[in-house]
Amino acid sequence: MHDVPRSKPTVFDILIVILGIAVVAGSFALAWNHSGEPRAVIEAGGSTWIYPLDEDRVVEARGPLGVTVIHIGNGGLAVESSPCRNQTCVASGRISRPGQWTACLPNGVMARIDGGASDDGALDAIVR
Amino acid sequence: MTERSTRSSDNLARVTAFLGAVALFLSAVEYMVPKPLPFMRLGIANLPLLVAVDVLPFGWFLVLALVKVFGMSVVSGSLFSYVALFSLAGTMASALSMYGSRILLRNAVSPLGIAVIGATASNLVQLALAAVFVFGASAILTAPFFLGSGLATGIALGLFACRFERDSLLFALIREDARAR
Repeated sequence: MHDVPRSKPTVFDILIVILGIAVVAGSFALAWNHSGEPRAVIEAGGSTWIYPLDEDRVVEARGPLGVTVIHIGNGGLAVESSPCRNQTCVASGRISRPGQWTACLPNGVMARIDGGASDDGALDAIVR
Repeated sequence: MTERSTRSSDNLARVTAFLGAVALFLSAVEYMVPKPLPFMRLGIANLPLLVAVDVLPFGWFLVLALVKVFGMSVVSGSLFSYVALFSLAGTMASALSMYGSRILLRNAVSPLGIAVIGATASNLVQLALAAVFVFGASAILTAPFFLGSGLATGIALGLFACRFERDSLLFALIREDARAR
């Protein structure tokens, strides 16, 4: 127990905040890789599906709770339904820019848009 | 057990129970606030833990952390799912790093620095779990948003805690009760 806590920010606090900002900036550097043609990447149950964004389609990704339904098309994607309790993934709406993502943690499904590799060509779908 | 130590234990149990109840209430408030993106958290349920760093001895502090995890999981309906393990790991990482930083850095830091350390530790542990058990390497894509929002809410919570510990009569009473032994 600490009898006299300091209740005003200190120099150490500022240093800790700066360190926190550096950690966030470092994570940006690691995550930011969007050089190619944007594409939809859906991951569930250890598998990855990659689709073009310009073709209309509905993808059913199966997770431990059931099926998460994702609508791809018109340059973006959105989670239409998911069996999770909080429905945050559905409420987060449509994503359309490289680097954006949405996910259902309870059902273990992630959908994101990234810049594709140049050798994917005119893909219909890729499963990894 | 002497009468003095029984009274001391009673006081600490009462303070822990009170802070646990506040954590449960704040968990319910947090659950009701709409979140624009998955994983986003305000972290307001961590306020009792942040305050308890300066009030409770380590054993009671851990009890409070476990009460908070249990309460959050009950409120969010995730008690019997693996999401509760994320909550447990995140809260314990946050609690241990906050208490550890108070011991190591003593009064060189205020609740602001402690809150930022706790939020960052919690988010890094949960990201690691997400990478290992759920999303694989793609979990790194969520890191900027996850860590960034955690930093922002950690700063806000820390500044609030600084003000609370300085000006609040309630905090003075809590400290008095925990000290009375």
